[in-house]
Amino acid sequence: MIFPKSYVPAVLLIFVLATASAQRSIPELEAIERLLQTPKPSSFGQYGFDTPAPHPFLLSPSDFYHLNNLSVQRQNQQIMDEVDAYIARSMAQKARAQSLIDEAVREMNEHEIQYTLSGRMAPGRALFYTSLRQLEEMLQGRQPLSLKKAVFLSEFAYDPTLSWPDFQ
Amino acid sequence: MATHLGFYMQTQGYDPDDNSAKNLAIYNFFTDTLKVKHKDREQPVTTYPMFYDFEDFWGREDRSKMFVTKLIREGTGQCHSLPLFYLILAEEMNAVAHLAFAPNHSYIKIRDKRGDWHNIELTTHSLTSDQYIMQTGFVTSSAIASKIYMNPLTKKEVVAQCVNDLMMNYIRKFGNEDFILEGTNLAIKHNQNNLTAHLINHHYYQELLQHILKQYQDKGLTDKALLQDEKAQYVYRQMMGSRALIDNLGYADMPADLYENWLRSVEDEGQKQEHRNKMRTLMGQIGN
Repeated sequence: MIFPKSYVPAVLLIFVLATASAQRSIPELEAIERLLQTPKPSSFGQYGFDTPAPHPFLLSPSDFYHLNNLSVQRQNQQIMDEVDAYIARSMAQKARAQSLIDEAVREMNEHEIQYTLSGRMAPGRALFYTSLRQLEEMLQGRQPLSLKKAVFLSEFAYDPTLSWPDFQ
Repeated sequence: MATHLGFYMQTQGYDPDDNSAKNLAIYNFFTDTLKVKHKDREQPVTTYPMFYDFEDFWGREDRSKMFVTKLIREGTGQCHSLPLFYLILAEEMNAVAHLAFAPNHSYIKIRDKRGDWHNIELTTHSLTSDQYIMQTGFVTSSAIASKIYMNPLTKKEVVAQCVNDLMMNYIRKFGNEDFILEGTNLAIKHNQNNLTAHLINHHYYQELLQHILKQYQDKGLTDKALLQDEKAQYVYRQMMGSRALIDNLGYADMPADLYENWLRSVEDEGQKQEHRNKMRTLMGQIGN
C-alpha cells in the first residue's frame, strides 16, 4: 500500500499508541480515558434552590422557576391576608352578636328570680332517688315492709361502700 | 343475730312465742355479755353489750355516727341507731316493739301481758317510765296530744321515718334542694304529724326564702316588687305555715347540754329503782 507522505506521521502515531496501550495496565487506561472525556456537570447532591449566577440578558430555567415561585408566594400571601381579614371580621361580628345576646339576657333576667333550690348538680344523687322510690314502694304496699331494708337504703345512699350482705 | 337470740332464749328457758320474752332477750343482747352455745358450733358465741357514744351524738360533724351500720361495726351508737337496730332484731324475731320519740330523742316502747307500757332506754341500758321522758321539761301537753312524743309508732310510720333519715342524709351531702320535698311529703302522707318531716320542710322553705331575698338584694329590686311577687309570697307563707304547724304540734327545741344532762339523770336513784321494778315485772311475767 502506498500512503501519501502527509499520512505518515498519523499512521506512526496510531501504531505507537496501539502498541503502548497493549502494554499498559487497566488503571492507566482509565486515567487517560478520564482525561479525554467531555466535562460533565457535578453529580453531588445540591441543597436548596439552584441559584446560578444571573445572566445579564437571558432568563435561565432556574431563574424562571424562582420568579414564578415568588409570584405564587405573593398570591398565597394575599389569599392568607384575605382569609385573616375575613376571620377577624367574622369574630368581630360574632362578638357584637354575643354582646347583644348577653345584654338581652341581662335585661330579661334583671327581674327574673329563681324560686327553687336546685342546680347544685353533683354525682351520687341517683342512689338517693332509687332509695326513695324503693321506700315509696314499701309504704304504698307494692313491696313488703322491711325495716332492715329501709334502714339500709337510707344509709347506703349516703355511703355506697356499705354492703348489704354484711348488713344482713 | 336472730338465730343467736333464739339459742339464747332456749338456754334461758324462755318461751319462744312470748313477746315479752323476745323483747327481754333483745334487751339483754344490747345491755349484757351473752355467751351462747349454738347447735352448729363447737364453741359458744359471745356477744358484748352496746354502749352510748357521747361523742358527736347528734352526728353534726359526722353524719355516719347516726348509722346502724356504724353501731354494728363499732358496738357504740346513740339514740337514733340503738332503737333502730333493736327494731330490726325485733322484726327478725317477729317480736312486737315500737319506736317512740322524746325531744331530740328516740327510744323503744313495749307492752307487757297486762297491757302496761314499758320504755326501753338503750342509751342508758334501763327500763324507764313516761315520767322520765316528762322530766326533760320539753314535753308539752300539746306534744302529747299531737302524738309527736311518747307515742308508739307503727312499723309503717317507722319506715316513713327512714324516708326522713334519707332526706337528712341527702341534705348533709348536697344541701337543701327541691328533691327534699318529695321525701318529706311522702313521710307526711303516711304519718300526718311527722315532726321530723315538718321540721325538714320548714328549713327548706326558710333557705328558699333566703335564696329569693338575696336575689332581690343582688338585683336591686324594691320591697314593693317583693310584696307583689306571688311566688315569693307563696314561699313565705309556706315557711310561716310550717313553723305554725310545728308550734301547734308542741315542738320545743332542746339544747344539747340539757339533753345530755337529762340522759345522765337516768343514774338518779329514783330512776334506778324504777328500772329494777320494771325489770322485776317483766321477768315475773315470763316466768323467770
